[in-house]
Amino acid sequence: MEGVPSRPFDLAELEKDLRAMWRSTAGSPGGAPSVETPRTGSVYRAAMSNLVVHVDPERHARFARVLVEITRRQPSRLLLVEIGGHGSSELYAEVAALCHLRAAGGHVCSEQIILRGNAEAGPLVPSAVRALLLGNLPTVFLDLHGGEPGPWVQELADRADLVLSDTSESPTLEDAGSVWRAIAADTDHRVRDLAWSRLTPWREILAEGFDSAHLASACRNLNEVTFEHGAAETLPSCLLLLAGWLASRLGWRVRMTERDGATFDAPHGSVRLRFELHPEAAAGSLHRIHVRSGAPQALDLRVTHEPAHREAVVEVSAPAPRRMEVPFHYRDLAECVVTEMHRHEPNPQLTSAAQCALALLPTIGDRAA
Amino acid sequence: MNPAPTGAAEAVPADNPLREGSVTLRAAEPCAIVVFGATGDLAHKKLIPALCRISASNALHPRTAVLGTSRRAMTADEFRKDMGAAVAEQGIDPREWRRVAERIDYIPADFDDPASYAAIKQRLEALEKERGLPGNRIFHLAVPPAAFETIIGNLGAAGLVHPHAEGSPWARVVVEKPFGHDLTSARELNRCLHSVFDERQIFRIDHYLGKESVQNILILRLGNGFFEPLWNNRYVDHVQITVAETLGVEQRAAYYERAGVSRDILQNHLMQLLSLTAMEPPSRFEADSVRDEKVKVLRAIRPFDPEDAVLKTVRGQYEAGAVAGEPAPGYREEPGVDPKSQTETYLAVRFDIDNWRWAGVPFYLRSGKRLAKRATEIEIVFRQPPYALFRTAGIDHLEPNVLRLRIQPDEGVSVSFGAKSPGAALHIDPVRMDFYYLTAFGSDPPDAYDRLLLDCNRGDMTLFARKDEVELAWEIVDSITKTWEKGQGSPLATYPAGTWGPREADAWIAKDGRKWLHL
Repeated sequence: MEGVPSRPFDLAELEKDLRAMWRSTAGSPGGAPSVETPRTGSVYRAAMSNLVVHVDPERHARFARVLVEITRRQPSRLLLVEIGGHGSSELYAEVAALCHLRAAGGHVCSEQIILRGNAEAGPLVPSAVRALLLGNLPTVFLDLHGGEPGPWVQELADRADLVLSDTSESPTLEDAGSVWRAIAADTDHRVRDLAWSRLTPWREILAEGFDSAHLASACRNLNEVTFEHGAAETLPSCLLLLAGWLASRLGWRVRMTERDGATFDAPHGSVRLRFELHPEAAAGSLHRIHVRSGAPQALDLRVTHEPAHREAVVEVSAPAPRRMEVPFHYRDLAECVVTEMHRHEPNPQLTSAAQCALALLPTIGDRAA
Repeated sequence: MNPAPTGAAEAVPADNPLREGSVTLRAAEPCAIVVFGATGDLAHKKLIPALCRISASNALHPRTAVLGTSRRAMTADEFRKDMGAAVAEQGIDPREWRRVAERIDYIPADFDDPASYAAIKQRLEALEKERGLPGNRIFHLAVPPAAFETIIGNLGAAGLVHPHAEGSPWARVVVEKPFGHDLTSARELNRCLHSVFDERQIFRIDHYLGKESVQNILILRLGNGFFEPLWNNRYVDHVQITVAETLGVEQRAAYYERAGVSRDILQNHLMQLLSLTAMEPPSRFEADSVRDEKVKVLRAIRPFDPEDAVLKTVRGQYEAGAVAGEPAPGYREEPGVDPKSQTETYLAVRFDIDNWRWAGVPFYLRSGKRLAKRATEIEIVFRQPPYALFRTAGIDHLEPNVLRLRIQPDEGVSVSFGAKSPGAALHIDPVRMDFYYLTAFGSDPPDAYDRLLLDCNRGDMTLFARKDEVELAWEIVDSITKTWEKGQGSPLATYPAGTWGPREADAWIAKDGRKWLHL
């Protein structure tokens, strides 16, 4: 659907642009939620939420497809905030629609309003966003910028019903740590880390390995855990979150952190955690989880996943050797976002994992630096 | 890695701390699926496409094997080619098809010949060995009901079915409706099934239960604070449930002549919708608790005596007309139909549910072929306010508030209520608030078979019909049809194809002071 060119932000004009856009689609007075056009069939204008997305203008292209996919799965009024670079110190806006063709014919469309400007225009953004939010719909703030949030970004986050950050995109472990600190301090369970959702298949497969009664006790007696990962400028932050999850579920406390891992005090003794580079693994990706326990229930279990594969390989060397392929439910960014938008319950597991990840941060962060 | 069957929500094993907080449904279990009638319509149009979609969503276990079998002599390559063309027609991604095709094998079989089952067993065991499968098996009977007994008996005799035992490889059988053609035959089918399978191994598919919009009935009622308090005879005047089809009998004349709409739709789809609408909240959202409550509703339906079969039903048969602008022949002119056929293609029936919640609230159910449009809906029609406040302003009549649950097409929910028309004068006009799955969730709901096949693999029986449920529904339908067969009951009315059924049905509901809602 054709949008309207960028112009200085003016709420009344913007609303006119939106009405004109729908009118041009409908061929009739605008505002109708479903209109028939001879060219496209029915056009449904839909919104389940306000989705405010903060993105670096230079990285917009990278996320454009993701945003299209998110609105396909969760039609929303999308407010795209692109502040920075060489834009104007005045706030500019433009409207467009993201439309998705239905298999049965017709389109479902989400409104998209892009707010642009240079860093000086940033403080104007919260008031513009407030004026554009659809009432009675939840507001989701998706921060794809990655860096430490400035005051106006924090203001957007404070006003949102749900705040989604992605520590996988954090430039440094310290940036990831600031997200985890926000999660740990968030009593309303509004703040989520998309890396948690992305780690779900790893967590599920590892958990499933301990479902059978004869392996359940091994889970509580693990004494070695190794995460193998691909080379990257810094240690992938998701490893700390995954380690935080294991530690918090199994009651481990950090005794000391080292350059290549950590040692935990566990109810049954101590647990050694190691991060190892795997030469063939894709850059920055988690490649394998290897867990071992000694007596009384010896266990040696490895979960390996190659990027883009739809199966992971689970290999058990002890107590009885076996090897199996299991589905690896890979989640792309859009799926992670929509999953969190649909999660309405608190996530205490994430909170405690984030707290443990923070405890691991200092020394490991030094190593990364 | 062999999770035990659970209910609708996955239980968290108490002794696995890593499962805490996990709400993701587990993946499918490794198994072999043997499809009887694999060259038929159901396999082409539903089963194999559903497997492709499940695979695309990464929920099909990578070692799953599919063994198709039917009477037709063909090689596995020919079978895969045939299926490939069928799934392509449904717009399945060719890459997904290739992933599924790799798992598919085929063996021709004469279902009456025990030697065929020995061959199936041999091939199945070879597949299981080759793919490292633990012996879990699903036997999907995509065949006409007449073949059920032969196949089930032979499966048992050939030793293809493991007995039900926790922690051991499992065997399950999937049967498609109709589950018999009356109570006697349904009992006979259940007896036959139980001679080989435990009830926990039997998955009876009524595909309506796999529809998102049908599952949403319970969510809407029991997951929202403002519907359930109104869901009783204090606020509800009556309920209408409609399953309307535009199609005629197509290629199914031989079956339909014996079945009619009462056996084809009332006994299963309509009864399922009625049970879900009227049931009490279950104590837990798991298979047997839900099914127990559905059975209680069927038990509470007031039995029909011969007089009720006259007073509480209208039956009809379509004549030539036009459906959606296309001429349509009358039922008796359809190929394979007796020119003097007395089979009903339309039925309207009133049920009274004798329990605390629904005493005095009639449930009007109707279904027919060659009606004006394809639509399945449940309408909860609410009582009028206790006092006609606006009568003094000249408003004597208020349209009732209606909650509509659209099962198909355009799945969703709408509420209609009165609002003041703008202007100085006082006029109250009915307006609607609509929820569409499409616009709310950005896509149409998935096909029912995707969910049902996966649930069968996981051992979740919530969305499958249980023995007692099926038999009770037949008892009710028999009490109507047996009266008709004796030459008693309501006379067979006629209606032009493309209309909303016989005029007699309008007059019949009008006698109760009500009218059919427009769909």
